Amino acid sequence: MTLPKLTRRLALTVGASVLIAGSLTTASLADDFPSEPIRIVIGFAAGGSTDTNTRALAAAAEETCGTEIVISNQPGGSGVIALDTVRKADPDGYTIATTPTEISAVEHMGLSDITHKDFQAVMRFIFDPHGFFVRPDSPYQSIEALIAAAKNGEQIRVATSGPASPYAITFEDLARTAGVSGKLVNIPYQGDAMAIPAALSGEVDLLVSNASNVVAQVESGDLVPLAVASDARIDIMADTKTLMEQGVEVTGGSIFGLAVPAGTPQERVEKLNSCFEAAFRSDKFRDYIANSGVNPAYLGAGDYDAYLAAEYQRYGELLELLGLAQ
Amino acid sequence: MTGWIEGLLALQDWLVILMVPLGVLLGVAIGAIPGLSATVGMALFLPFTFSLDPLTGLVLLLGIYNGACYAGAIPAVLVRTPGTPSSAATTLDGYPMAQQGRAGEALTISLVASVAGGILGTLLLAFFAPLLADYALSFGTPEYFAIAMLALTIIASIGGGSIAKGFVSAAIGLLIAAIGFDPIAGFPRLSFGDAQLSGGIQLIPLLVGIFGLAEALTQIERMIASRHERRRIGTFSMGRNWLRRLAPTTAGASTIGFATGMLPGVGGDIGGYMAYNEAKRFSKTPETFGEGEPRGVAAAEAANNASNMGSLVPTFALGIPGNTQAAVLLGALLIAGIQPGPGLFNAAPDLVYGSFVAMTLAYFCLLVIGLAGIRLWIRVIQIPAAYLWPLVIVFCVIGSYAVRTNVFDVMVTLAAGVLGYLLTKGRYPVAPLLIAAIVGPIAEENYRRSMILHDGSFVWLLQPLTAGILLLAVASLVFAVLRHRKALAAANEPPRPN
Repeated sequence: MTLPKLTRRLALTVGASVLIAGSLTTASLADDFPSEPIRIVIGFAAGGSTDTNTRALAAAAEETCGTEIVISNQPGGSGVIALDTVRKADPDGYTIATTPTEISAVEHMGLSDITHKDFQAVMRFIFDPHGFFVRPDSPYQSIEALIAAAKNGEQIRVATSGPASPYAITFEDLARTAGVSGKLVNIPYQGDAMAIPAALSGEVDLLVSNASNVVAQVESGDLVPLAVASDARIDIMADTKTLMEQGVEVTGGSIFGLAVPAGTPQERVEKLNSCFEAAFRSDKFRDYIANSGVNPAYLGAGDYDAYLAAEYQRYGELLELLGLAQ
Repeated sequence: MTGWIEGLLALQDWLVILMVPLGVLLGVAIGAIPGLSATVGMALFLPFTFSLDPLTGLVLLLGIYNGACYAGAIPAVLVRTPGTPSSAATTLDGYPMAQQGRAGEALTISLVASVAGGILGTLLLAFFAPLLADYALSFGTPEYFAIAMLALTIIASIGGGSIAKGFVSAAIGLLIAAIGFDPIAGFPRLSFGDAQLSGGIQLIPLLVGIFGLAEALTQIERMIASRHERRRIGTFSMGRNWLRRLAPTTAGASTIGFATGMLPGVGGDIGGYMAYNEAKRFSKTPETFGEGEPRGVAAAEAANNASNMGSLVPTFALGIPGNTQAAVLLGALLIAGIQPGPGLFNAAPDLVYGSFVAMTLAYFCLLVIGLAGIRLWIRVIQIPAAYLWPLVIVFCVIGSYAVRTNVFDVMVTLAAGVLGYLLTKGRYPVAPLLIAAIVGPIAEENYRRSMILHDGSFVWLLQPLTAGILLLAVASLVFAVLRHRKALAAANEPPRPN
């Protein structure tokens, strides 16, 4: 970092803090919340995408919410253990869960009784669409070629980060929509850190992962993107068509959001929503978005609640069709 | 070469240089507390790095990473409680040495071996990372299975008195590892409908319980039965001819540690055990291993620090984390505005080479801090047993809670402590249990994935690299059994008159 850039950043931070400090004094007249440290419980290990995205947001939110934010990692059971901790916590707004994509799936799969109904949504901040990637020497250089090969009876091995991962659900949805169910075989790995090398070495034919996870491998030419499963193209891979553009009506991605236990007072939810939204729109977090390649996608408390309810419905139908529901 | 110059220039900042000893000190403190692993420590200081320059933050985190890896050996030697999983193998000979009044020697050896392994690893990383990363990619699912099988054969030779008891212990370990989500089909096993159990048994609470808590229970029982004598510290010197005695083991162990560390998902805990096993196999006096053999300590500690460096190969060269700590490093880079990936060596040479130089400095720093500190923390064993062992229990409980701030993990530690105590009473070795719990899941998952990848055919077993490693595993097993028989025969034979 050059010196002028550093001083500029410092000036911005100081300026922002002064502004925030000013707005806080007026706000604190109405309600003291938050006056204690806030705890965010993450259902995945430190260093993963949920952890990194949430920490980046929390770093900005310490300023915008005017309180200390403590991150606690409770990995295990596809995020279920952390969700269980938070839903049992006092609904006072001081304990926040990150809402993994799996929150819409675990109950349908008989893995837990946790659903979005145990929580009150605060906001969604990132929707990272799933992408489909192959090696440069792969015989399948387009989604069309991939589907044609599958229709010809070829088995296509797909690396995902786990048997019931959102990645697996997205590609199964693709297979079903394209009429090649059973021809795309799920090869589950322990997380992206194992799945990406498998795709690089050619052990599998196709990789499904968040586009932001392999941005560097795509840039270096080690992996070729075939499609992203979003509504519209994404900035980091602007040349890559969406599945919709290629005639497959499927979307899917990893959701990064926040929620508090159900029963949290409405004004506290709104307070959290507004201060975390301010963090989301801060320069600090904008820089993070630009550097990491994640796809910002804001939804406020009410919209995110409705979204989670719709996702719960959609996953239910999808898992039923795929034979993964219990 | 220009990369090195940029790296050196980047280190001209006093703040970066300050982070070297600071990181090492923090790491030593964190690693020495059972249960607090490098991952937890790095995550703890991660928010602090957000306000720092990328290199400054990285140097701090790397200091914690390497400092903690060494410091895990301190409680492993003194109270048979590995401070981090990587130091599990260090207990095998380190603790017997301490019991024989050679704690000072054991701690000095663990320090020097750690530093040697770390520096050797750093050199390998700095000069061969891009080359080695490509090589590591050639290790696919079948090779992972083979490596896991090779690691499992250690059980046969590490069990001490009885191979059969070693296998019983390992079977319990496999059973414990089976709890939780099935890695391939995704459904919970042995969970009895409990959300916590379906999340699986975490390694650190198991480790802390089976070693630390179990040893505390054993010692407290002994204390009640008889008066406990004060343990001696002994000399801090490594003895005569230490270089000639320990250097070959250290160099070999570093290589094994580094090579296994390069494989994502294979950590210093496995590397430490594998290096220990090889040191024993190549020794002329294998019977001294497990009875306080300095080379055992050197092998385990050199390997785990070299493994730490090996894990950074895919991290720096490919942007793929080699272990959970490396994942935290990558997260820190992302938040600091650096996109890790295959282009990192060219895109940010100051950062990459700067951190290599800083790591080398950190190891020299560690040597100084360690040599000064050993005299301080060795006093732990002079604490009267009536206070020491209850304190160990307290630390075990706190440490296991700290992993995920989860009470379930504390219950796992308590249960593992009782299990470990009973196993020790029955003269069942606990190391096989731990090895099986770490390696078993890797073997299972990769076996099943290989079968899916090859459509149910066993043809993958014949791939040259896989078959080669598996043959090595078979040879290792046969060798261990033969050696064991010979030892039994020798023990049963009446001593020959001279």
